[in-house]
Amino acid sequence: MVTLIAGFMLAIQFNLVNQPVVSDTRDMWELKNDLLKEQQTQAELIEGISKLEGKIASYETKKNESKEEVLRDTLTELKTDAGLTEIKGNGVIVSIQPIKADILLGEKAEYISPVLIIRLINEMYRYGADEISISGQRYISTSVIRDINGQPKMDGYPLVHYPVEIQAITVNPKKLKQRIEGSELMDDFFIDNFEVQINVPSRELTLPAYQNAINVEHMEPIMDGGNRNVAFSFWAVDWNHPWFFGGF
Amino acid sequence: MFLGKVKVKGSGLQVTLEDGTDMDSEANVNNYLVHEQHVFKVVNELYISGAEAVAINGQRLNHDSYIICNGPVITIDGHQHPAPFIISAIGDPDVLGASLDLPGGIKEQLVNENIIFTVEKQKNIIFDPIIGG
Repeated sequence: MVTLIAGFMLAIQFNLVNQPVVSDTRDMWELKNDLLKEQQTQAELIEGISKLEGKIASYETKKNESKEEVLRDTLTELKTDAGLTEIKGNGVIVSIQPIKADILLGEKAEYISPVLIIRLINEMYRYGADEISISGQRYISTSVIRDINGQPKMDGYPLVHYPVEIQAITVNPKKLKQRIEGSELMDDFFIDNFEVQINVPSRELTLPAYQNAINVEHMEPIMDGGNRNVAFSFWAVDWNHPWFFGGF
Repeated sequence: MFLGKVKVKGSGLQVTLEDGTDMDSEANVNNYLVHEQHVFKVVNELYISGAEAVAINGQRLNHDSYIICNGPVITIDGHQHPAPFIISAIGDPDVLGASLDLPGGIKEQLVNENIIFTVEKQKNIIFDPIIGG
């Protein structure tokens, strides 16, 4: 018995001694950085959770009274997020047109380089733009600006009528304006003989809805923990069907 | 699904962009690195070829996503990702692959700029939802 206990203790001792020592070589600054990053993720997660919990609660309370209405609300919300609804708000208008002096001298106005527009859009989202439309077309996640047959086109529509107007809705239009003005992109537009004007109109802007259909053929949702039977294409569903919501 | 609110899976294509390696000592190192415009090009080409969802190093892109190249990492919506950059897209793998492979297409352009460009067709790509979405 004693040998057994002694052996057991020895084994534990051995185990303890053999624990590999992994030293943390990060310094104070790195640790602080990592901590900050994790805290940000945590904050984002908490925000998401509270949003979803609120929604669940509202589903619960309204379940008996008006299921349809809650679902309708969610549908509108999703459509808004996807860019399928008209949207109003404060924002900035960026208009791009060829520098007039050159046209007077007889030079033909070139087209705007799609790369410049893409970079401008990227920059605007970076500085807080929420929704963007270009020459009356809504920019959504699958929107593409590309040189097609020599013309810059967005989702198939040419951007060749000047001024090309980019409207952006944002919480802080003044800040967005200043950021774009200060960006080196302005010089790049100037090099290409385009002048860029940025205005913050006092009236509300209205961005149109995305006018094409959104097709989803190749992806399907994975429902972890939820009802696994509701694996179907979100966009292929009849909007009024109470089941559509399995897809959001 | 379209908005990145749920986890999705589907067939598609995976493109890996790596910094070029065989540089001579006098060359400008910047000519061998992957920059944001390269990533834009690939993402753009994937969308126009019918990609339904695109992610970079596993981070799903949204309509208001932005990409910044700052030094060793690429920042997408405020999250940093190191090289190599793996751009994955859900869509028809054959169509996506063919459009990148066109003569004079994105693949040739990027290879000309000394970037190591790898394309892989995949049957089962899984995208996590966007955090806080």
